[in-house]
Amino acid sequence: MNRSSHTPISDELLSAYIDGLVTNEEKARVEAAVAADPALAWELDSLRRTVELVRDLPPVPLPRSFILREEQVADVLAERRVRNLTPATPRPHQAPRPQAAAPRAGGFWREFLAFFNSGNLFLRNATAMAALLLIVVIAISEPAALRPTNLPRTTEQTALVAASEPQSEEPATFASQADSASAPESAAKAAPATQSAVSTESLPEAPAPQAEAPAPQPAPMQAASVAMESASPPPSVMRSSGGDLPLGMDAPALVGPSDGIGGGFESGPMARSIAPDDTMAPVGESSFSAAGAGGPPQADAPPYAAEQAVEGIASGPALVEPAVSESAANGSAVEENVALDSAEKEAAEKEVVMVEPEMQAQKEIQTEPLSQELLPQESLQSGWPIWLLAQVALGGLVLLLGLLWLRSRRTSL
Amino acid sequence: MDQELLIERSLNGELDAFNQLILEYQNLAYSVAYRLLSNTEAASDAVQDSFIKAYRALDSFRGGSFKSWLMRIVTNTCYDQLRAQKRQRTESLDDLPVEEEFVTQLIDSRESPDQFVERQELSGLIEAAIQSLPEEQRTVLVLCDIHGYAYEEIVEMTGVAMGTVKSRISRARGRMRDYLTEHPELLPASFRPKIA
Repeated sequence: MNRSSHTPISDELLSAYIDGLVTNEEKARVEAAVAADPALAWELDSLRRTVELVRDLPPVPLPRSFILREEQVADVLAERRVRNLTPATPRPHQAPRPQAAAPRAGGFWREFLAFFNSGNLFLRNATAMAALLLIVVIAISEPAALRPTNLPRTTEQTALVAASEPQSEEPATFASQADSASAPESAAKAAPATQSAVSTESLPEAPAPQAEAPAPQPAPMQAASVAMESASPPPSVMRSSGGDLPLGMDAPALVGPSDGIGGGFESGPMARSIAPDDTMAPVGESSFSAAGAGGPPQADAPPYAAEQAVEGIASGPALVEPAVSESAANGSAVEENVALDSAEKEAAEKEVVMVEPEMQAQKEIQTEPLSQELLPQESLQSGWPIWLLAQVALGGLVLLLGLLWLRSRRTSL
Repeated sequence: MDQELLIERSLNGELDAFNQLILEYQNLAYSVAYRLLSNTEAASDAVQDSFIKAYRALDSFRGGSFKSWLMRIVTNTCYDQLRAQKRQRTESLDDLPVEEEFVTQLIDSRESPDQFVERQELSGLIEAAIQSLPEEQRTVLVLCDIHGYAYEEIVEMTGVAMGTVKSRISRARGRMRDYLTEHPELLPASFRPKIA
C-alpha cells in the first residue's frame, strides 16, 4: 500500500516509531504527520496491528528434544575430554595461574599427554614410526647381532687367546662346542679332533664322543674314507708327497664347510666331492694312521693353517671340523686304518714331524676360536645393517622426542 | 546455572552441561527454524544440526551473548536448508501446511467454535504472509516481532548492519500488512480501515 507522496514520513520511520526506537524529534515529527494525515494514521495503525497479529501467533510446540547424544559428537567429545585431562585450560571461576606449572600438577600420564598432544601431526607420526622401527629392528634381530662386542676376532687376537689357554683345555673346549652345536655333525667333528690332538693313547677314549655323536653316514666305509681324507692332517702335504691328487679335489672339502658348521659335509657338493673319492683313501688312510697310531695328532693343523692363511678365517674352522667329525663318526674305520702299510706310516710320520711345531701352533689357533668365530663372521654380514638401522631408529626417536618436548614447553608457556 | 560455567564445562567435555544450554534455547531455536522453514521435519533437522555445529564450534565462541551466537548458527543453517530445498525443488506431503499441531494450542474454553475457526484461519493467513516474505525479511520479522528481540540482538544474530535490519523490518511489516489486507474477510474488524 503506497502512502501519499506528500508526507515526509517513511515506512522505516513508522516501523521504528512502532518499536519506540526513534528520537524525540522523530517522534514529534511522526505524531504531527499522523495527526495531519488520516491515511498516514491508518498506515501507522495497520502496521501496528500487523505486528500485534504476528506477535500473537501461538508458540510452536517442540516435536522432540534436541539434546545431543555422545555418538553425535563423539570425536569432539573425546578430544575435549583428552584435553580436559591436561590442565592447560583454566576455568572461569578459578583464579588465573601460571600455566607453565600446570603440567607438573598432573601425574605422569597427564604430562605425557600434554607433551605428546602438543606436537603436530608430522612430529607425532614420525615419532611413532621411529619407535615402531626400533621395536621391529630389536624384534627381528638376534641379540648377538646387536652387540658390537661380538665382532670377530682377528687372527692375531685368536692366536693370543689360544696361546694363553693351556693345551689341556682343548678337549673341554671341544666338548663344550659339541654340546652347544645344534648339528650332530659338529659334535662328531669335535670329538675325534680332541682325540687326535691329545695323543695316540687317547684313542680308547674315542667311543665316548662317538656315542654322543650319531653316525650320520649310512655307509661306514665310505664315511671312513671321507673322514680320513678330511681328517688326514695334511691333504696338501700328502698331495705334495703322493702327487696323484689334484689340488682342486680338496678345495671343496676345505672351503665348503665354511658355509656352515658341518652343513656342507653331508649335503650338496661337499658330500659328492668327497664321498666318491675312493682314490684318496690310501692317502688319507696312511696319513690318518700316522696321526692316530703314534704320530703327533697335531699334524692335522699345518696344512689347514696354510689353507686358512690363504683363504681367510672363514674357511679355517670348516677345515678342521669336517676332519674331526669324519674321524669321530667312523671309529671303526679308524681301527681298520690302523693296520695300514708301515712304510706309508713312516713316510707320513716324517712329514708330520717335520711340520709339527708349526702344526701345533696353528692348531692352537684354529681349534678353539674358529668354530666360535664363524657365527660372528656371519653376524657381521647380517648384523651390522641391523645394528646400524637400530642406531638410526634410536637416534631419530630421541631427536623427535626432543622436538616434541621443546614444542610442548613452548605451548605451555 | 551460570551460562559461562556451562560453556566452560562443555568445552571440557561435559556433554551434560551443553545439553543444559540446549534445554534453555531449543524452544527458541525450533520456533525460529519452523517460522523460517515452515516444515516440521526440516526445522527439526535444522535445529539438531545447529546444536551439533554449535557444540563443535564452541571453541570459537569468544564470549558475548551465547543466545545470539547460537541463533546465528540456527538461522544460517535454515538458510542452507532453504537453498537446498530450492535446488532440489522437491515437493512432498510434509510441505503442505499442517495445522493440526496448533489445534491444541488454540483451544480456549471461552472461545466459541466460530471464534476458534476464525482464529485458526487468521493464524494460517499470518503464517502464509510470513512465508511470502523473502528469507532475509522473514528472518528479521520472526526475530523482532515473534520473538521480540531488539535490533541490536538481531544485528548480532544475523550479522548485518543496523540500518539493514531496520530497513528489512520495515519492508517486512509493510509486505505483511499488504498481504493481510488482501484478505480482509479473515482479519478482525479493528484491522480493517475505518471508512469515514
